[in-house]
Amino acid sequence: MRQGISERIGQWLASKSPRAKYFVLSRHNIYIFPTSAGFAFLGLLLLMLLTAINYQSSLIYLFTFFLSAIFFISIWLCFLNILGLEISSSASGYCYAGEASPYNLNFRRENKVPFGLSVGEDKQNMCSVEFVNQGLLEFTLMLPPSTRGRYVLPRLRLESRFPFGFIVAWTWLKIDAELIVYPKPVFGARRASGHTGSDTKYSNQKGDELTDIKAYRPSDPGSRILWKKLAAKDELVIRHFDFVSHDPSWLRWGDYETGNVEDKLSHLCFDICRLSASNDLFGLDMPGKQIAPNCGENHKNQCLIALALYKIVN
Amino acid sequence: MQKRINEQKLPFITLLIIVVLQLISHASHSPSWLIAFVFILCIFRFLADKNYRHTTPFLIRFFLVCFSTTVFFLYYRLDFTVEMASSFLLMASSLKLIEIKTKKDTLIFVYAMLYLSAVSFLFDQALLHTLLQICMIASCLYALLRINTGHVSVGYRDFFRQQWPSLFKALMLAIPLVLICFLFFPRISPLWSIPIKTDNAKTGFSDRMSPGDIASLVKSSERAFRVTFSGPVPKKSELYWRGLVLDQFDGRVWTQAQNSISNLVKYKIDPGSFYDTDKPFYQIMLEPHKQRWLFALEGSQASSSNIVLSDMGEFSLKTDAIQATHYKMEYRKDDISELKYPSIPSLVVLSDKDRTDSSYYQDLQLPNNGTNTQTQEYVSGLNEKISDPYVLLNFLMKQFNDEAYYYTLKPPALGDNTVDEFLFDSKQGFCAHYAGSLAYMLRLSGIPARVIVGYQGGEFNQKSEYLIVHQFDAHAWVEAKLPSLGWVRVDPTSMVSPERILNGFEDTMEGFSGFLEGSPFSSLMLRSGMLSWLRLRMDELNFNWQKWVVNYNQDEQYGLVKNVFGEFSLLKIGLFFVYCFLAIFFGMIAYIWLTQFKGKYTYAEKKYIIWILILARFGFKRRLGETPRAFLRREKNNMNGFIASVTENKTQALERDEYGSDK
Repeated sequence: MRQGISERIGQWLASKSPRAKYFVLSRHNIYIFPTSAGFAFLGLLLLMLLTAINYQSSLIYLFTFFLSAIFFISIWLCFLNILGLEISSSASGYCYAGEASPYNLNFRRENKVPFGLSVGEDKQNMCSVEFVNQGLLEFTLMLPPSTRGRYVLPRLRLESRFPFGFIVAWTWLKIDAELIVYPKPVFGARRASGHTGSDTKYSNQKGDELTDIKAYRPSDPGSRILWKKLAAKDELVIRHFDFVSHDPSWLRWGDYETGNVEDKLSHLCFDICRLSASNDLFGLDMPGKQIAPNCGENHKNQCLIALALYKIVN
Repeated sequence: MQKRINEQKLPFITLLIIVVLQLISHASHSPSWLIAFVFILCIFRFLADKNYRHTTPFLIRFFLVCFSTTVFFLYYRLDFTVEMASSFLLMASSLKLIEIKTKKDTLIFVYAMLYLSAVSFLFDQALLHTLLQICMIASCLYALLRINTGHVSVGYRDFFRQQWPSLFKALMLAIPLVLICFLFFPRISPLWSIPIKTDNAKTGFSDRMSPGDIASLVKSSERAFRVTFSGPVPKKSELYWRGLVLDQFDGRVWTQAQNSISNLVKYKIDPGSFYDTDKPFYQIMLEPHKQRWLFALEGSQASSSNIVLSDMGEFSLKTDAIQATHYKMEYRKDDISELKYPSIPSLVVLSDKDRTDSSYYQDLQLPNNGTNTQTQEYVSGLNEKISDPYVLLNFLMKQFNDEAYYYTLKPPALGDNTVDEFLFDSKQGFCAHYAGSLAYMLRLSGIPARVIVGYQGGEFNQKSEYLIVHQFDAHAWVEAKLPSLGWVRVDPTSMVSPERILNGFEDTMEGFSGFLEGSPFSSLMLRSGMLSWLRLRMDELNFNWQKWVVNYNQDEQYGLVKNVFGEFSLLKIGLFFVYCFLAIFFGMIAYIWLTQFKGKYTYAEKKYIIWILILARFGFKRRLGETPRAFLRREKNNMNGFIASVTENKTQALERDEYGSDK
């Protein structure tokens, strides 16, 4: 029964605050309540009032009322502190399974800086957010590690206990964004296959590396710069490969010895990252999906997304 | 960028300021070892901070706790007083100092300090002390602010420098709230009786009088109480502030008889029942003397609810006066029979001083330990010659004048037979000697008599029209019951030194050795010029503070509510509270609503818009979509010179603001 009620309240709250990419804190979405320190303070005030009554001390009355008024005003100050704060977030992001994923939140506040902000998934894991200057702030929140697939951003709690910690004003941010969690990259041995011939490719690569050196042009990728040459001869050169065009490698589902699907995905992920780092031309062939050989960051992400969402329904 | 929230700690200097302020507040009644101990704790805190540790090592902490509790127990035993309770709280919360680690520890420390600060008002209610407590609140709030602001890159000092004006402004909103609560929050009687026992170390006389006791008070220029009269102030010689009745004599010391003490409560006065009286009254602001007895003129009737009236017309408080206490007395001057008995100039006939029957003979009690035999013989000799009590009293009083008696502050020490030695040998004494021996002689001759201690006279503050009664105004006199007149008041001192009564003690004693020698910077020394002026102004300020704030009690509230609402009813007060809070609540909402528009227009825009609205009243309406420049061009020729030039200026200012290069 109790569970039912709290569920219903949760649903009602969910209907009150739909998912969005942009939030402005207003009286509609700021919740405010005394903290445990606030309740302790109220207890202290009660104790003082009893002292005042029993000792008939006018000044203790005055003292108590002064502190009560400060408590009362701090409700207001706490509310005004975060009122008008704008929060927006980037649409989506990615990360690898098992590692903390960074997520960017943008805070903006005109005229005034909010203090004592902290944000997190729940009360136990709050991180403080600090406005360095007036205006904009980009804040990277580290989300806890999760498993492969789509990761729907949890409801985030944004709170402030400014000024005296008696009152907490908070809001729930239900950000309309999802992270794609790629499989965890793990090295896995591949079966020898006629089509790939990775050994030859590696030797090829090594052979070419020494011979094909070209002067650096501004459009060349930075990963190919030969830094050793720069240190030795003070000239900026890149290694130049030619082989990619004639020997595309295919990463195939069946290449790996393991029968476990998740392990296979991890191995594939590892190889995609490796090939992509060395700027090789590669294609992905897995059940239900085939991606033509290509190279570059977009291609890599396309492949990894295919891995991440393998057999995952919305 | 990311930082765990719970690991914020106050810097040492903030803690030190809080502790030092607290020690100053409690210095007057805390033992000096405790103050030294708290400073040692501060040093441990400092060392822990210096070594980047949160707490002092466990063994040291354990030792400090054991040590302090032991010393505390040895010092106070199990003698429960308010001082002991506050010292214990001070010690316990200071011990917290060495183990502040988390935010929660800081909170406990700060809250304990705030409570201690409230408690300190039990011991001191002066204006200066209140200012000290405001500093205390400010530093505690700073501590709370600091642990709740999160990390600030500019540093807390700069943060606070930037932020305090706006915070201060917001907190000033507390003032109306505090005023409403202070004035109208129902003042109720204590919920349960509490032990208000305090150490008896305050200046003032005690409930026993031996020869020479009052002379020691004379060394003090401390204030005993202050009085404001609704009408003209009576003559100095009429200002006999009746305090305590001493009716038990053991041959040396006058004390209060046990059965007189147990007879204390005669009737109580309900709050506000005497408030709206048009009879003349006076109000007394009593300095805390930590006793219950009060001081009143003859012919007074209690008009405050904190007073009870006891047997023999003695007024007393319901609880010990551990803080400045305010009370009001109706004063019927015509009740004092001003019948003059030329033979005894100080004699005044009193009313309502009779005892209940059970203790009737207390006023004839005599010591039966065989002391003062010479006096006994002398009085029995007199009794054979004079039978009429009035004549006897007259004779005895005259004796003090006719014989070579001296009024002195430094009477010689007396042995066991104090009355004998004083009357027949030394013949030098202070009021206590004269009053004590007269009462004894009257009792010996069968006339009921008792010694009254109180104050006589007072210093009049011309500007603010109140009377200050100092400790050195302490006095003792005699009440006797004559068959023809009933109870009368006689002052034997007036026979020896009439100036004492006519001019007041201060003028009489100036230059006497012994007077005020205990206080080098006494009020008397500061009599002249600037200092005197300053002293009286300070006293006035404190007096008004005590009158209007410290002593705002049930009775005052009753009167105020009656003035404001017509009658005293809790319902009306309750409704008033509800209205006030609703008003404040909606005021806040209105403020929040208004702030939405803040920053929408710049200053120049606002000024221009207001001017356009004014122009519209004169018939110059700007068309929809018309630029300010176009509007000016169109209407310029229709306007008169002044309006045109103002419009020109405002348009230029607007354009400079919007499109100017310097922005």
